[in-house]
Amino acid sequence: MKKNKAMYTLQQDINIPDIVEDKADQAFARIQKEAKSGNEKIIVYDKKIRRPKK
Amino acid sequence: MNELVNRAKKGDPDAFTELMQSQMQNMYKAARAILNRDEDVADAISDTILACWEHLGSLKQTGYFRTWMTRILINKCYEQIRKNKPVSVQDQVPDNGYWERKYDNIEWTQTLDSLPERYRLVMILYYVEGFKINEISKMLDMPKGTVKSRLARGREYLADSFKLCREGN
Repeated sequence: MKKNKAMYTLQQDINIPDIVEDKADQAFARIQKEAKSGNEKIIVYDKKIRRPKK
Repeated sequence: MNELVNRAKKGDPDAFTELMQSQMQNMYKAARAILNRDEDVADAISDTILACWEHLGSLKQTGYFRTWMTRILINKCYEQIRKNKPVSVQDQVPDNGYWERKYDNIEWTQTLDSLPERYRLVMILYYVEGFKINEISKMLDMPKGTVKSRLARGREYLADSFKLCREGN
């Protein structure tokens, strides 16, 4: 009985903390902005610049 | 959900946002089962959103979206642990970080924190998110027998901790 109450507690909806919502919203905004500007992919790493051989 | 996944795969940012927002409860609970601080959870979820958008094209079967996304989230959580090991790892101390939690989630966090860290994620994935044992096994690179035994121990732990609470009152 008590164990079931614990399971129920774990399953119930909770309030997502503001810091989590805010960071998620920033990520969505970045995606919207980049998608609208035509860049579907978000590059999260730096590519090395290769110089042409002389 | 499959329709949203298909639209998101075609590059629709609105569909992707709706899809990921529908998963926020699940993502938060799974991440919180691994990480103690909401700041770290926020970073892990944010990184997961960006990674899912970037790699959604590589998802072959739409029906596996939740499994695929959760796997990415778990990896991002472990990246956070590697970044901030001394403060973020949930060892055996269940009451770390209460200062920053909202009181309205206190019952949920207390129940989660009453479980040792090694049982939390499998309990959340199975009992809250509804994943099957073989899916959890693949997601965590863990034998099915280990998943089953952790679920059994987790259930015992919850029962014992509530028994202790009752005896203490």
